[in-house]
Amino acid sequence: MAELSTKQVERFRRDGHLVVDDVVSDVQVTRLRAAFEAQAAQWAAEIATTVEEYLSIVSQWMNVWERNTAFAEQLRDPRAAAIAAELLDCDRVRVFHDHLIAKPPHGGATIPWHRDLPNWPVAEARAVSCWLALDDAPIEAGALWFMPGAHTEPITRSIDFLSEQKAWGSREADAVAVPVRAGSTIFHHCLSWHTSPPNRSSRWRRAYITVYLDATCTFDPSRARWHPMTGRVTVAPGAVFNEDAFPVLGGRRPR
Amino acid sequence: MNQIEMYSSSNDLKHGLHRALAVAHALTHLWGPGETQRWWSVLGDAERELAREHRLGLEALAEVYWRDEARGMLDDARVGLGLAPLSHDDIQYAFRAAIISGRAHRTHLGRDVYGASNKRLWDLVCADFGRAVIERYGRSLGEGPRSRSDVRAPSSVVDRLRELMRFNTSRAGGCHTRCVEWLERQLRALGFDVARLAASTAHPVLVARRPARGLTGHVVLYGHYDVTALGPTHRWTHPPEELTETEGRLFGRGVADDKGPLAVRIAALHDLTAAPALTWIIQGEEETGSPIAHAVLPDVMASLQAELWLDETGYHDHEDGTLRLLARTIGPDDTSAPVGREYEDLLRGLAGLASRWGVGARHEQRGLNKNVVEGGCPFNRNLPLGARYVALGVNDSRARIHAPDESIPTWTIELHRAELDVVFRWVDRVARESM
Repeated sequence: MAELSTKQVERFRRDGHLVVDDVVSDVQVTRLRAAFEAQAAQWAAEIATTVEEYLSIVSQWMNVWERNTAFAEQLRDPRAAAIAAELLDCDRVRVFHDHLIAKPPHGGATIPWHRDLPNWPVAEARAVSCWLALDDAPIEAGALWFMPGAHTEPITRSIDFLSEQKAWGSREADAVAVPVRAGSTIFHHCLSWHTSPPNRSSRWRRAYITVYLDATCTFDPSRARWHPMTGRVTVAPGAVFNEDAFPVLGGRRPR
Repeated sequence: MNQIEMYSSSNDLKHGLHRALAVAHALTHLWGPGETQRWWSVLGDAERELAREHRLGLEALAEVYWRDEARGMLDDARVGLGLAPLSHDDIQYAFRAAIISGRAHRTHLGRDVYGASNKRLWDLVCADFGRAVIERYGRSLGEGPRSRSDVRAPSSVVDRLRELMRFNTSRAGGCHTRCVEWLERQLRALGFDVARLAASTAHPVLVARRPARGLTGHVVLYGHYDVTALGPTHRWTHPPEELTETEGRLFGRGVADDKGPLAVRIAALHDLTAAPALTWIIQGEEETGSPIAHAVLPDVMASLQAELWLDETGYHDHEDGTLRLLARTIGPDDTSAPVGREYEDLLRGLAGLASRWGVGARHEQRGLNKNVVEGGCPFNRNLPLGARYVALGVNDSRARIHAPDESIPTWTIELHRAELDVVFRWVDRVARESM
């Protein structure tokens, strides 16, 4: 049985993003939060600082699944993988990497408007990110914003987060905030334009993101000037990614 | 110090922090005869070599920035540029954040938001300081380190120098007229009006003038297109009448005196779009007593008013590249008056620029030694009272002018282009302030 309705798939193709509620249970969300807290304490200790100082500075992590069982299980969640495959209209998906983002209360920075693919060494625009809220993410806590439909526009070069701002002009009014509750997911296309402001609430805003590629996507090092995953690729440009660092998961289910 | 980008934020920050120290040191330290300015000399022995090559890590830089001497130096330099002193507590916190973010990335792929901690520290130390330095001295002063080894000479210089060397302009060479025509074409292509003085002679003096381009003030440059006669060629390692590039140097008769410096300045003026008014005096008998120049330059030079008078070239120490700033203000009876505070500012800027190449600088209050030149140098002899004179250029102490294996180093070519930019911007500022 398919995970998504035809209408949901059509909405994703029109807008470039789709909210899917209750993908993860409350129990699993609680488990992931606890895993994050333990992991953060360990990371802080690794570099000889307190967890308070650490989390006031460090807010993003990649490849958490490789060192943490709870996140590894979440990464392989068959339902999320099936949704990704349905949205990409492919048989199987491959994990590109995961990404944990934690904006502390009254903290975190603006992530400027950007698209993901121009920063990735991936040739095809056939990827989706599954943004799983570990806390409620209302607008004031730094919810994601999207420019609906902009994922269909031609690929552009990457944005320098330190010095550039995407200027939308009169289109700015078309941007939409997408607040979600803990346990819900936002699937978004690799060419969707998105941004998030700082967390102005008194609660954490944590999210666990898994990037799924169509399993047939190929390596293109010329796409991105630098990416941390490029060093893990052991295949030649033009080949599909190596299984050890980029595992293939199950695919979509029959309608 | 001029920019920071997401993909290179760690390196950009590191270079910026080194450059800020180097420039602050140059802008705040006076050096006397026999002293050499080296910004890394304020550091401990273990840090010096790393600092000279911009290889101090962030932790080591944090320690340096926390020392009283560095803090005072940075604040004094900022105040001198019209900026507020730094908040050193903010800088200490920003260093801490950048260090933690860097460690997190190295150990477990954690990070802040795409170099935000690096950017915050860079904003505090480098952003407004870099802008102020650029505004005063030009863009090059704030840019990253440059190497002195394995530097190829640019084709824009090599091609011109090769052409210049084809004209045998020694006393008996007979190619002076063709060389003059070549120089006239080059100068006119740069926008100069060129006049030949003593035009009916075989060795005329060229006086080339160009109006200001985007900057105010006036610089007089000097050079010569003649060379000494070639002695026994068997004493040359490289063919003296051909240009040879090897060992990071350009070899050939006349490349240091003065065809190399001429070619370097012509190429540089093609690149430098902004310049004050320029008068370039180029004679053809410096090696043979300068009879025509001695006759005509007194009137020519007496009619000129300039913020700076720039001799045919200048020198570095070959061993460690130290820039010798031969600079003086002309006093009565050709004595050297102190250069004065305004002129010191130029010398400090040039010392700060040279530090990009990892070299120190020292000031010597004198002109180029031209006692060996038959009849003396008519340019130096006719400098007006109060003139600010500097010898600045590509030569070094291995140049061996008038001798076998005459040569210039290649690394000084880019430096000299940047020096001219610093000179032009200083002239512009001095001229504006005197209006």
